[in-house]
Amino acid sequence: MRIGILAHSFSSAFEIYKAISGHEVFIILSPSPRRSARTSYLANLVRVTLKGFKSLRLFANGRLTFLHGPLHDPKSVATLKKLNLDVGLHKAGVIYRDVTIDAFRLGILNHHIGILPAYRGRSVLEWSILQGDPVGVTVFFIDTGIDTGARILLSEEVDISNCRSVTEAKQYLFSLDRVFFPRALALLSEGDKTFQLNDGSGPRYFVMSKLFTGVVEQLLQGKQ
Amino acid sequence: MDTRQQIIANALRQRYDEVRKITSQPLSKWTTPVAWFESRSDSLTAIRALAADEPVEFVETAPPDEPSFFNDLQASIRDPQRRFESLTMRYLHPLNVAASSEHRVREHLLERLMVADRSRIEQHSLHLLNANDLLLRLNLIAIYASFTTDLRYLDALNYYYELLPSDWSPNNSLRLSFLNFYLRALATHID
Repeated sequence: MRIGILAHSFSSAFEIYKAISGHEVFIILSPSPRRSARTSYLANLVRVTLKGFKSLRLFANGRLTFLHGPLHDPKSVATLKKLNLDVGLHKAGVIYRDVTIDAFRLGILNHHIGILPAYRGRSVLEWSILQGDPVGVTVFFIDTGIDTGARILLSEEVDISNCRSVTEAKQYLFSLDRVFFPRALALLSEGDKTFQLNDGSGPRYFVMSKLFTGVVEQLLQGKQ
Repeated sequence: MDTRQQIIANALRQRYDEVRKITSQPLSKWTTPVAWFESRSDSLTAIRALAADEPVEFVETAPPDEPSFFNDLQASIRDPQRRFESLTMRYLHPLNVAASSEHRVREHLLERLMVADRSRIEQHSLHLLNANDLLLRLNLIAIYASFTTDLRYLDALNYYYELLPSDWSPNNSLRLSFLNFYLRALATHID
């Protein structure tokens, strides 16, 4: 399959790139919403150079694409379509529009650090712990809503008992995209398209207060 | 009560003690509106009365149409004054916000508070928000937080208590009633 990793930062995309084998993988970098397109471009050029020979080869082989506008910009969409990609992997901090999602034959996968459909939205790791529910990861095809994409490819509980803080637990779960994205792609390659249904039955969670985050920290430390 | 619930209750108790230093303790128990409370007073007067633990007279009637109100609410996302007027018209008796018919409205209010408004305040743009509209919505969510076990509502109050500058009081009455309802919600969850 032809896979496109959608990211703002080369470094985060490159970690996933290195973890995927058996597919044609492209990295597509769009400007960070917090920076100008030019600054984003220059920052990523520096990152590519610093990563050494493998990343420079990626650049030389045309596997690295810089977009000059947001992912929904008509020029960006045209560039994505030209790449003729099957699946996108979400590493950009944006909510996608249909026009971008439709540029991929099968859609764009998201690695979500919560169990869907129960936990969607923000701070779902913290909310799961606070409410005494399992912590885990879900890989699903996104739509234009907040974690409402109906097709779930993978959903698994993850043991975080070795993590000493919320920050550490989050970093650990996010880092598992290098494990779960390749597994999800393997499932798709096998032609196993029996999706679990994300029926949107769970509520949307929001950023957690300092008070409850403190409670979660205590609960995490209690599990050590 | 298991360890997890105990840790949550301890944190809420600490916060309760903190808030109690700046506002009074709630007394009477509220009745959940099974149908709809029709009140002769206006919304802001009723909020002040509830916050002061005074009775608000009402008669029970059928709830008004929810879909058209919800559509109106969504349409007024960029018009806070219109939203403020719509909410004060609908919730003449503020406890109606806890009625089962109001589920979508509550979720909408919660989402706006915790996404768009929160984000603007955190970008130091509190002065750009319509204070009456913001505080009214906080009051309504605070009222509902006393009726539900859904911790997202209580945590929105935790969040705003931590977020709003203590010297910010453009509408002192609504600010005080918010703190009072918050205290009541904390008490409910500790019990």
